[in-house]
Amino acid sequence: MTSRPSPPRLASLMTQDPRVRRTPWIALAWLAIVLLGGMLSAGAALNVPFESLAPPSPIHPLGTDLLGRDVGLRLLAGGLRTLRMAAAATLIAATLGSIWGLVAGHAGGWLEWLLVHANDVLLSVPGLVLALVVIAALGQHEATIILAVGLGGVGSYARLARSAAAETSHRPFVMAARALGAGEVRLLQHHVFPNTLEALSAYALLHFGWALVNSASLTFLGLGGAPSIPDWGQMLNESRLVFLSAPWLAAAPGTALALTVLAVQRLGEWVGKP
Amino acid sequence: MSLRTFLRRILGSLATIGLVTTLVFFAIRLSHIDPLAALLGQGLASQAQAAEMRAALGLDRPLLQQYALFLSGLVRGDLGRSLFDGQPVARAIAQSMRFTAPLALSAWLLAIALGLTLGSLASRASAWEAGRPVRWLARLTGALLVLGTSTPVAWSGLLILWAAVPLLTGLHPGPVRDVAQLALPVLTLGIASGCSLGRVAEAGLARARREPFFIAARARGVGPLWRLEWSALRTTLAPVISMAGVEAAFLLGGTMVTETLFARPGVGRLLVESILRGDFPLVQAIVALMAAGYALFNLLADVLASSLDPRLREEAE
Repeated sequence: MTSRPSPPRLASLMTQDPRVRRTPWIALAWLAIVLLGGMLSAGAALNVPFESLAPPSPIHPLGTDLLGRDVGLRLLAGGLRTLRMAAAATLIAATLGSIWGLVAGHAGGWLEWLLVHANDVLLSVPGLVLALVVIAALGQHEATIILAVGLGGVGSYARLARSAAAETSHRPFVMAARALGAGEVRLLQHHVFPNTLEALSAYALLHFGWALVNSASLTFLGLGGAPSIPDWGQMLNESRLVFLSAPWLAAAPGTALALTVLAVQRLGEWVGKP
Repeated sequence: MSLRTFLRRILGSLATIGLVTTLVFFAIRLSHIDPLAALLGQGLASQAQAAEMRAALGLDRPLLQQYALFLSGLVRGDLGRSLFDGQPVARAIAQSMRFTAPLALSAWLLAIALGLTLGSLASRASAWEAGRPVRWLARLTGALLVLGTSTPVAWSGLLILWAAVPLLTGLHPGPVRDVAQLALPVLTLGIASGCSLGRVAEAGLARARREPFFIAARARGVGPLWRLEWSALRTTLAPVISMAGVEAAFLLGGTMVTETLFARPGVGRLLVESILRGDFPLVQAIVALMAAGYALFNLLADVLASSLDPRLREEAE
């Protein structure tokens, strides 16, 4: 009686059945558009001034900003930068967090106690606030934002990796390998890590969405320095003050950011589904 | 939660906050950023004046001595003074807390209420007993929840501002306008946070609806509807509240964005400004405060959750 006892109907075919794993074509297509658009617009002249604050028109499909720059072009160029920042931050969080968590979960004993409690300290500061501390210490720059968002995510990643590793480390094949004389590093590298990879990579995509929002929040707050190619958070920040007279300025990066996070989330669900 | 666990949690939180403060103190001071560089760069102070200020602030002393001074000040309840305007840190924070405390607390409560309501609605998407219109409404709600979790606060806040401006422009200064000005950031944060809580509630409730106890209750004809709903909600209330504690991290980080967006002089805005100005005493105090606030929200959530679910009480013992 635990499953749905109704006979299959058209409506039930249309509801999302948790057992079916559908390829998220729309999400993949959107991410491909963002990536390709960013690459194609790489050489474009972003800073050529046209008429200031022109509403959307056939020449400027997304209008122009306060300095008369084409919003559409900036959106395309900025997308690649936004994705790149979040991807680099995710890589930092995934690498550091995995090593931290795998060592803690596999080692056990005092080392685990130490690493887990150090991690609790890390987790006791909200991720975005931790990122701000890193920026306060290292200055306002794109590289700092990447590092800041990356370090802000290490804690939750390490927690997941630890529980995955602790579970795997007690499985018979790991004990068998140890009995055959494998060293702890080898055990971690060849036996524990491959078996946690699936959970870790599904989480990396979830984390990627978080990194997207947080790095955009930081550049929105004006902490990303002043690079010539904007990212979407910075575009939102620039459009904030003229929002009521020129809403298209904020609509483009805001919607693009939301769609990208949505696409990444969908992708994460798809990868994470058994 | 027994008194002993409660006290142990508080002690643990205090130790953590102490560690966080120490780490932030050293992280900021070991960086090569000079807080007086801004003053010097703008020509507001001469080299001699800057050296004098450094001596007055104790910035020319060895690091460990600075830390000892900081600790001794902390014991006396003195958090130091802002490097920017010389105002005592405690007073600057107290002033901005008047704006942030109502915002964070009401956004948190709104998030829980919204999360449970929307989650309960969305969980009917595959409920076999629900009628077709209900299922479509549920599916729509589920889609909105996903959309809400993926929309950055900076963008949804702008949208809410845009929608509310026609309503706000006619208001005269007074209590009504104060409430309206609080309502906008509360809505922004509460909706964003409520959507992620809603997804947790949705998953829990959808599972509860397939459990034998719920099917049996339905078959027995338990009514009215709210009593039936409550029987399912009870099982998933505790995880949702626990999640709400974790979600407080998002809220505290989100205050920085919303306070910037809605021009509220709160703690989040103060933190961002202090970082832009290199105002160390304020930065370290606010980060410690945010860690404390996060611990408080988590404790509150755990007390609530364990009073709702007896199994959690036994686990904690």
